[in-house]
Amino acid sequence: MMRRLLKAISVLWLASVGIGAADEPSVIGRVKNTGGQVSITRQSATIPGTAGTEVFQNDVIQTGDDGSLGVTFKDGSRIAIGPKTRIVIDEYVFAPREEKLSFVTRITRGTLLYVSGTIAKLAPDKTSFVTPSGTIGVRGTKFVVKVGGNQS
Amino acid sequence: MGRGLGSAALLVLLGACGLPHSYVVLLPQEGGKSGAVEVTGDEGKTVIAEPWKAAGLSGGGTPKTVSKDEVQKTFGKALAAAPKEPARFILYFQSDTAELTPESRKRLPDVLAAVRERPVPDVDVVGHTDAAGPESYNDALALRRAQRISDEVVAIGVDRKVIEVGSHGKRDPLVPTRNGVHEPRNRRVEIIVR
Repeated sequence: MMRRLLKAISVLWLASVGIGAADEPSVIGRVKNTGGQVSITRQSATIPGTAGTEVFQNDVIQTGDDGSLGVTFKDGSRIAIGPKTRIVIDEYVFAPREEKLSFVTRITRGTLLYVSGTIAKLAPDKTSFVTPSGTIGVRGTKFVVKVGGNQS
Repeated sequence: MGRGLGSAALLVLLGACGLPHSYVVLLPQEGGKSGAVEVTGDEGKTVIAEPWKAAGLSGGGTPKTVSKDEVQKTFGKALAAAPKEPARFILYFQSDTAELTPESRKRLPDVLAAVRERPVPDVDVVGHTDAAGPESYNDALALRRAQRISDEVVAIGVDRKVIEVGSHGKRDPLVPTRNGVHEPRNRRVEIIVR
């Protein structure tokens, strides 16, 4: 019963959150927790990432030797990264009413945990992780990925 | 002999635990179903459909089993930084009102608890109606319901600044019906605490 209820809610939830005006940068998620050194680069400015920091499309998120960070996005997707990691949120569009959905994250080094949200549920083919050696396509899921070695 | 050498070279390439430098591991998901990932790279395409299986990011090859310990060792910091799973609530209303049913009223403390469990919560409160009545009327009724719930959770301790209120009127029924149909399960507010 509970599971059915939850499923029903998540199905409904798809239609529940739109994004702001197309030209205005809109908040796509929020940093929920951090440890160690974390920075977010937006346009040309770099700010420290702390719990509560808003996240926007095209943000570059980096952690130092002991850094870690967790973000929950508007659609309920979650990303967490470990030390010495660099990711870029290349694309995030969550406008289910207009059937506009996409989520593309680039990881150039380090470790990352992903737990899918509504975007991956509705548009699995529009959700991907780009790495220096290959692309990860998502079919509603949870995974960890490591980009290591000499790749940059 | 040549074969033995090949295997040795391969082992070196793959590193101590048999994994390449860059790889993805499918994990079991809360609630059972674990989905799948597909890796596409220079060396082809690999699908991982079973949890605790790993594949290199260049694609190609067969997924390998990875132990929980290995995952914990490599990804422990990232795993520990994972935000809580969003909590979802549906609260139901009496017909044509912004009055909660007595059962749903009892759930308000659970909403507060979910907010308190999160250091920096975001709360979406979206109102809905059933299909009885005109659209404009239902848009307003759904918004009134959402605002009422927003007020009620603020009254018991949720910071109003973290709440976003919305209305979907009769456009997103939980139980699809023909227009004009009264359906208690569609008279509701949905709350997501992230």
